[in-house]
Amino acid sequence: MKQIIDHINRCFENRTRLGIMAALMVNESIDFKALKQLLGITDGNLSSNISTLEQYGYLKVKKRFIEKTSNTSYSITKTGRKAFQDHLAALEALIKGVEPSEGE
Amino acid sequence: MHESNHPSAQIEQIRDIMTRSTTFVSLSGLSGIAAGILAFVAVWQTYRILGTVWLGDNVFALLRESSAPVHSLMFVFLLTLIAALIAAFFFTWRRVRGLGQELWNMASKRFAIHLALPLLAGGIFALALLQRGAFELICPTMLVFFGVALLNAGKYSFSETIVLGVIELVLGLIAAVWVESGLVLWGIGFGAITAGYGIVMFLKYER
Repeated sequence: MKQIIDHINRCFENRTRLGIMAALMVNESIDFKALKQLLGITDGNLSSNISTLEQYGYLKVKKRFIEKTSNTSYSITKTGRKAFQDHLAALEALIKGVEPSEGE
Repeated sequence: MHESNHPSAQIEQIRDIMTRSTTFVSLSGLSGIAAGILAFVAVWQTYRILGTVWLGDNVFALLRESSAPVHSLMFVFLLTLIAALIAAFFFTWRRVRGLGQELWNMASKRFAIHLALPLLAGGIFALALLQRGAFELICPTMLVFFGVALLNAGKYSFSETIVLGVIELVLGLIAAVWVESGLVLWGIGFGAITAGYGIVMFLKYER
């Protein structure tokens, strides 16, 4: 049990960060507006969690200019993909281990 | 900060976001039913113009001789296309609004682009055939490209869309070999099969 909990990534305990990573796992890149719409959260919440993920090295930021307005899009890094997969595997293991005793 | 530590809640959230960001599930079945009915109207109008739905050599000879029926047919099919697109947008927009979602999101954009590109290519190709007087291959071309478009966009929607695409594609290929049946197969593909798909989707997901 101890080893499984070690693999649970604290960075993903935050719902917004987990959501951003889940979306980036299955989409090559997503821009800020689409991400905001998808997760249904505020600008502030989204951008602060994006910076956190960027500090971890889990996502890349790409800024482009389309007709003079800036467009920022995000994609997952190799490290991020690995971290997310490990987290997912740990969650699954945890569910399997916890199942018989249901309660917290 | 809001946190969800429970593993199964996290997995549920991950699954939900992955699905919502890649799958367009709000296409209304009523769009398919409307398109099917419009296709039947188009076949009926074609019958009134040509006097038959069976495309024998005499029909193609007639079309090569005079441009009036060709223009009437172009008008009928263009109008049908526009009406079907409007119906598709309307019913889907109504459904999305009812679900409290946005029509234009990541998933719907991806679905629309993957559907529109092969359709556009098919439309241009059909016009080229028309210009060349290769009337025999116009019905099969529309069916084949419609099938390919659905097959392509179906990856981002319900798997039934892929099944519909395969059926249209097969009908198109049969029509390409057996050109006399082109209009009948067109009516079956765009009319009966599309309406049937719409009914299935409506009963399965919208009731």
